[in-house]
Amino acid sequence: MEIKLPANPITRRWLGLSPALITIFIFMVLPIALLGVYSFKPADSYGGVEAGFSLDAWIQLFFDRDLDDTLIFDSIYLQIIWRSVMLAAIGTTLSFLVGFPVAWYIVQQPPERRDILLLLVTIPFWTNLLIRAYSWILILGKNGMIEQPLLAMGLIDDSLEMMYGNMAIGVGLVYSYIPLMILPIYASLEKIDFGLVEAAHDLYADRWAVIQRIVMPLCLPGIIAGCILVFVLSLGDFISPSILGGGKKMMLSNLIQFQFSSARNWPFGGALTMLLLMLVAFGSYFYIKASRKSAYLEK
Amino acid sequence: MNKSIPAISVNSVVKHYASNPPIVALNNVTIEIQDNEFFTLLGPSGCGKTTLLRLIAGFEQPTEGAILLYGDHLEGLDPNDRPVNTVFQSYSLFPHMTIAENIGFGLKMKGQSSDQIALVVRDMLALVKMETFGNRMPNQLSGGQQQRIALVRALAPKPKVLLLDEPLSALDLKLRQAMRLELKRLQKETGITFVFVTHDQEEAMCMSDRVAVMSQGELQQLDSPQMIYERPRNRFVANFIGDVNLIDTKVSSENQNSYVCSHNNIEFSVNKTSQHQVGDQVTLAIRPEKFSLVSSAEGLLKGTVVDSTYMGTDTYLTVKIDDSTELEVRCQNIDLDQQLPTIGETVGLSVPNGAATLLED
Repeated sequence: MEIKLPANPITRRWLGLSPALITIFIFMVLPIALLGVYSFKPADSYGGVEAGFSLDAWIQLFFDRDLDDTLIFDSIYLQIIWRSVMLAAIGTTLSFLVGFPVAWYIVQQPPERRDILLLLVTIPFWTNLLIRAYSWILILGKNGMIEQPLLAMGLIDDSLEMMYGNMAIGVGLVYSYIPLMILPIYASLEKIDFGLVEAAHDLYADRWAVIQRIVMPLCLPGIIAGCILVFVLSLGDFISPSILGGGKKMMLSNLIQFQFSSARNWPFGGALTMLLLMLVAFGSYFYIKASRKSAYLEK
Repeated sequence: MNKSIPAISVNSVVKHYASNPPIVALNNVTIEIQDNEFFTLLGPSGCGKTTLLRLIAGFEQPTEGAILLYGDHLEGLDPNDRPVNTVFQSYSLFPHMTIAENIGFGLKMKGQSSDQIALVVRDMLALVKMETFGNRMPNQLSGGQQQRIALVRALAPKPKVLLLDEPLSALDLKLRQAMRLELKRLQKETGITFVFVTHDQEEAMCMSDRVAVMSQGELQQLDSPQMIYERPRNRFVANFIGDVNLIDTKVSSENQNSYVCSHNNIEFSVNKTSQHQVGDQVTLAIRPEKFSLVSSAEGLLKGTVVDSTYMGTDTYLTVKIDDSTELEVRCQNIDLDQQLPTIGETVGLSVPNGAATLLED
């Protein structure tokens, strides 16, 4: 049987892309658009939405409604958002500080060892995220692997209280997402012509200067990709905050999860989701722009 | 700098690579490179010339032996601590920096002020007549232009010795010829010692003050280009540089300064450039252009023309002097009326005194 392809090359290109486009539309664009629409609807009492248009969900982000229906500015949700963004930023920074040297080390190894090391980097991905989070409780928790020996040696008298706080969440975030920092950085480091490193070394640049002035600028695309991946996933992570943070500190992701489960306020959940999406999109956009600019200005 | 101390002394340097099987890249090499010299390391790929250059630059450490720069040991110094710069084969210009920043990089790393750097960069661009290129990026330049920038980038920090690793091999022929002259000029103008690595004998011949011919990790001969060509020490050097006729002979007698070597009752008188006994089998090297055609009655050698190839400047003749020996003879084409022997003709060949060189092996 002969299949007739459309003559127009543009039509043909779109036809070729259509399976991917349809998949993306059904599984990504449509659900997000639906959430966007929901955020502008009044909530009903059973977790669904009623017909009509309402800005209640968006107002709720910034204001509390008093008994007499006057709006009072309320920063509680903004605080949660701010805390989540800060924690994600710190997690991203730590991931970069740890991940870059690891990637730089791996890329300098002979090819066979590189493959093994890269495999090791991805191993945590083979285990369930929940299990990995719980295993950190064994390490950081009261009488855990860190505290026990210290207590036994008499170096500390009391628990260090490492669990259930920002530090534990930070550790969880870095641990969970560091492969996503290492892999893109490694991929762009791998493409750097090592002759440039030698040339810089030859021209009186010491190790640090070589990394700062040659390696980092040249692998900037990898650094940007790694940072965005880790930041976005950290911001949306709800396992680390709820398990390692003990659920004491509400994060944006927990808040969203809460709206769709216990609170049954889908419009508010939708508004929060849209806000998170916008934060990530704008954040990434400006970060890329700023990095590009600084890469050219730095010279 | 004391001019009498060699710019670089390579003392019994050995370099092994612990691969499987182990590679001996350099086997007991000793070379002294003089101050303000255009010195060339010449040899086929894998002869160890680039390894030697990398040892001098500090990218690798010798397994045994020492390298001295104007009398100072270089052992344990990183490349950034050696006052030596390299021009790389692939140029290795930093793609994210402008041309001016590339040239100024070494000075910046040495901690010079940006005013000083700007002055040097301007001078360097002027040196290669590329004054207007400072703000361009490397990928906006042609191969030859990139080559020039790589050169002045390495010259900008005023190194004591400039190392050049086959810098012309990526250029096309015309550009390569122009760059040879330019390199020679830059060496004269800057007064910096150049150590040039190449596998191209022509490059070595036309630029160098002295040439070290290397093969299989060993130094074969170290001499002026003229001596390398006229008095090759062994078969390798004779074959690697130019074309050569090798004639098997036997030492038949000797006097104070020369041997008489005979081949089928033809006697050659050669200078004693190496020690042999009467009766030893020795090889003589004679360059194809040394012969001159004479009538078959005259001449030291007599033979039959078996092949003739017109090459423009010369005609290459193959002359068979006996069953086992064919000689290549080059005759310059002076004018159209010149009568050259045809195939099958018997010709006589005369060989001027001193044209034949006695080889060590």
